[in-house]
Amino acid sequence: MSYGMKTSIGISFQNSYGTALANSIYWIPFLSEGFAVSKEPIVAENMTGTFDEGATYEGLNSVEGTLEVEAHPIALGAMLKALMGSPTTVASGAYYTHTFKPRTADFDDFAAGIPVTISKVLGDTGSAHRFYDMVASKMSLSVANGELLKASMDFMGGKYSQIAAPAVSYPSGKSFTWDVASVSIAGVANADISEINMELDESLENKYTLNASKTPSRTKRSGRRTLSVGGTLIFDTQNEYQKFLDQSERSLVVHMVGLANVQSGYNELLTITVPLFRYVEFKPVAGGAGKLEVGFSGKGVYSTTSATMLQITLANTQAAY
Amino acid sequence: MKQVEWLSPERIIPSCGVATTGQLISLPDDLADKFIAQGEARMPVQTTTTRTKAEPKGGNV
Repeated sequence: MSYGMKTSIGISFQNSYGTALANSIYWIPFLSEGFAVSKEPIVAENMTGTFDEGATYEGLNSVEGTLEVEAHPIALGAMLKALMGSPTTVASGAYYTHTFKPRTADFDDFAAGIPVTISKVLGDTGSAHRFYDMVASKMSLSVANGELLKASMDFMGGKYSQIAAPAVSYPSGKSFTWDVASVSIAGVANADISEINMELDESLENKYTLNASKTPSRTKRSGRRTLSVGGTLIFDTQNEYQKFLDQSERSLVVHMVGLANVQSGYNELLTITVPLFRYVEFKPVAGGAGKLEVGFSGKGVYSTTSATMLQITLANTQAAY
Repeated sequence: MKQVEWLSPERIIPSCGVATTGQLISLPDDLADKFIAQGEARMPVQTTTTRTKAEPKGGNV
C-alpha cells in the first residue's frame, strides 16, 4: 500500500524531441498531478448481422495532465523554463537572477516548447511512470491573502514507458507567502488588491500523422498566445474603475520577496511584469451588506516597446536552468 | 549503507536528510547506486599514502 504523499514528480529537459532524458531531473514539490495515458477506443462500424457493437481497436494515445504546486523558488524556475524556454541569467556571487520571457520561436518542428520528460514515482508501488515528449501548454500563478503562492501547469504530449524508479531529491528552501507580495499598477503601489491570478496560455494541441505510431508526432500551436489576469479588489475608490471605463493600458507588477536570505541583503525574489495590462471586466456591484469588493478580469497586451506581454524574474541560488 | 560524495546543489533526500555539495553522506545501497547512476553523487575519492621509509617498530633502539 502506498500513499499520494509518497509520490514524486520530476521533470527533465530533453535535448531533442523523441528521446527521453533519464537524468538532470528537477524534482518538484507538488499539491496534485494528473498525468496518465489516455487511449481512445475505435469501435468498428461495419454491420455484421448482429445487434452488438463491433470490434474495438486501440486508437489515439495521448497524455495530458496538470501539475499544481505551492511554488518553490527553485522548482518554479524549472516550470517557467518548460513554458517559456531558457532564461537569461545574471550571477552575483551565489545569487542568480533568471529572466524569463515567452518564446519567440518554437523549439523545433515537432514541439512548440522544450520537450520534457516527466518522471512519476508512485511511492512504493514498483515501476515509475515516464511520460516524454511532453510540452508545457499553459501556466497559472495565483496569490491570495493568507495563502502561499500557487502555480499550476498543463502539459500535453503522448509517449510513455515504465521504468525503474529513479532516486528522488528535492530542492531545499521555503515557498513564497502572501505577505511578501506587493502589487503596483502604472508604477504606483496598489494596496487594494486582495487576490490576483495570471494565466499564460500557449494554445497548443497534439498533432497526429501517419507515421506508424499511435502517439502524437508533434505538439504545436493551434492559436495565439494569451495572458489573462484576474483578481479581487476592495472597492474604496473609483480610480481603477475609471481605468476600466477608459480602457487604458498600464504596467502591472507583482513583486514577491522570498523568506530565504541567499546572501547578505539579497533574498529570493519573484517579479511578474505585465508591461501593458487592461481591464476586460470590472463590475462594481453590491452583492450583499458587507464591504464592497470587485472581481475583475483583464489581460496582458503585447508591448512593442518591451517586445513581450510578460516578463518573469526569479532570483535564487540555482546557477542555471 | 554506502557512503557517497554528493555532487549536486543542496538537496533534501526523503527519509535521509539534507545533502550539500561535496558532503559525504551515507545512503542505503540501492539509493546510493541510483544517485551515482544519475550523476548526482559519486563514490568518495580514495586517498592513498606511500610508505617510503621503514618505520621503527619499537623495542630495542
